[in-house]
Amino acid sequence: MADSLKDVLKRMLLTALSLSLVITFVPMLAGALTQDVTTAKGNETSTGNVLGGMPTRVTWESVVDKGESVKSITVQFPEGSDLTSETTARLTVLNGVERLEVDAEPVIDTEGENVTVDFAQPLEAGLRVRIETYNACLPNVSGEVTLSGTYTRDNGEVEQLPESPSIEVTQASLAQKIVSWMDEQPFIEAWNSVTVLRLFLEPQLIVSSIPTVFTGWLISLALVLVGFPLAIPIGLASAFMKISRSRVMHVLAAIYTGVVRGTPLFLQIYIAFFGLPLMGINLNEYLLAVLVMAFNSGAYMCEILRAGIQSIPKGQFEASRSLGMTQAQTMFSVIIPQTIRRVIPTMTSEFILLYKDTSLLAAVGVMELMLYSRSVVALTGNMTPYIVAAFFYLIVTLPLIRVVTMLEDRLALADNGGGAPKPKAKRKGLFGGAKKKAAVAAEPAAEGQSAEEKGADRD
Amino acid sequence: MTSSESMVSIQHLHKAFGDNVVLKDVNIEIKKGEVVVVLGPSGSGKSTMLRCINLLEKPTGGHIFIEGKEITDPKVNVDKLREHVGMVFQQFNLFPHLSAKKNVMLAQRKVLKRSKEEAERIALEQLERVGLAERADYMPSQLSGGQQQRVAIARALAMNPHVMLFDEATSALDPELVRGVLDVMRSLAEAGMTMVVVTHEMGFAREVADRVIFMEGGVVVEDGTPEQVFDHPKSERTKDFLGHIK
Repeated sequence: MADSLKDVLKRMLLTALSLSLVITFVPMLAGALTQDVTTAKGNETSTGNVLGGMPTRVTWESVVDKGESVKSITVQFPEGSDLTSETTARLTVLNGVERLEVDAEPVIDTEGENVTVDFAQPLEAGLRVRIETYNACLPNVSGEVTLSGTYTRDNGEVEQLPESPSIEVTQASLAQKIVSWMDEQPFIEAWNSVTVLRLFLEPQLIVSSIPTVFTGWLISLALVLVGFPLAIPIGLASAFMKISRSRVMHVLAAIYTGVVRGTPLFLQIYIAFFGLPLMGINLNEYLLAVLVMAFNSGAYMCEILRAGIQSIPKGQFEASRSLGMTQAQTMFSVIIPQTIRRVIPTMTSEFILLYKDTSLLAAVGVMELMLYSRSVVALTGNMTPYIVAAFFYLIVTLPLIRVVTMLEDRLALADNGGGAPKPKAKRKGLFGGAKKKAAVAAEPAAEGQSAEEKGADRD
Repeated sequence: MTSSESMVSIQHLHKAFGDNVVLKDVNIEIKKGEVVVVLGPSGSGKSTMLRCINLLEKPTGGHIFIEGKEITDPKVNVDKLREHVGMVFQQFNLFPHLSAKKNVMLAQRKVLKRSKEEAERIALEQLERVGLAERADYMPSQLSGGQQQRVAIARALAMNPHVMLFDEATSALDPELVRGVLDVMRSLAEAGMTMVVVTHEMGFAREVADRVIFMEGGVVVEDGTPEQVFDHPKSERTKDFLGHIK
């Protein structure tokens, strides 16, 4: 008994609930305006996406339903939109394909972010109303936004507008904002009208490719910053092997350095990336990349360090050993610290080479600076991202090349007994006016050489 | 300890570099506290003989004993031996990346395992002894040759050597810097250090040496007191050499 009573009560409750729902929604479903079109014009040049927070043209269209007449419409932009003094709106009323002259002007409320149109003559059923808002900024978010608003019936009743179709908005980055500003600038347009400049140095593409290329730069930098330190112990160990009295050790190290330095890094990368998976060894590609770079660089470092160690005068070994220090103590407390000082310039050159060589990893699909910039090139058919990539290589290599030159100069000075430095400026002064310029111009070329020379024996 | 106790005993020492025989049957006895100066023209083998004493050169024949222990025994711990044999080189061989003080401290820390404080205290003591306490923090490149050599002596002394070997310690110095180094060596001799000194400084040899050895062609030609060797040399060759030097 009790159970059946409960059931009845439940059913009654449900009925009441559904009834109330119908009552609430029916007037809306039978609205006087049928929302038809809501669009925003794409304001991103390359993709046609609608970017938030940037001026666009928003079109809103509705049709007046049968038996209704509308006196006033307010189109409310979503929260976060921005209508400014630059914003304009245009009203069009259509009867079928025929455009009607109506006595009404859209009024923009820059505070309330809405557009209101009051009609002197109420709009009759079947008429199509189009309100285009120019230079309106939609909210700067990623996702879908909708327009809302109200309308007023002939009898003064105010109703909510039905929800509009949604507009897909993409959040605009700073770069995108700059690009769309650039799109408007006549001087940039003039610049781009020159084919060479547009193909290699398009300002918009420089700006828009920087975030992508920057990501690649960070990866390349990470690859070399992990790979290079990893190569140092490899190089040091093989340098010790090479100068060791053990024939076997020496031969092993000689084979290692010979094979690695005698073959292109490109080939080594191919063998590692295609050979290891064949053997069933599947490493993370970045890990493998770092290992290959370290393995390759270790062989060069072996030679650098070996030469460095052997350049330390024999007397240093003898003095250290005569004090009772063991071979290992002598190596690590006396010889290596002096070696480091001597090899820093060459090691820096090696770092520069290794950093540039991370680009070879693009061939096996490791996403780094080169491949990131290539992806933008593939998308745009424009060389500009490669120029941006060049810039990202140079911001690392140029200062380091400078450092190498400085260190080499200082080392040469120390080797000459640390006498008074010979100022470069003075030397240039000897050439006199015309030659002075040539000397200055020749200098960067000479700087580049120290790193390039070593590159020559690498490939 | 009596002065008759043997410090270094070199017996039938033979050394050859390939076919080039540098030392032939060299026999030298050095007692504790003795200062022995070794003279001879260049190429006479005197430096090689000295370097054999701490095995910087490996003898190809004969035996060397230090304090009665045979060091030419292949089983000997060379590093242990060298702790007790200090050596000063012609080219100073200071460690250029370390300050004067740290030069003196390094082996104390690594070999004798002295604490940092103790090593530093001893380093300053030894630098004081060679008159360079105020240069303790200078880098070798900031010191004159004479000062560098005195630091090198302090570095060797800090290890409490039982015998000091000087391999032409003043030959690379400008004449005006030689004195300071010789003064240090003289005071060391007066303090009773056993010293084997290869030098061209005749004045020093005559004044400080207990014994003078003259070598020529890889053999000991003269071995006696300074008076014997300088004033009454036995061989013509010694007379000739001393004549040239004077």
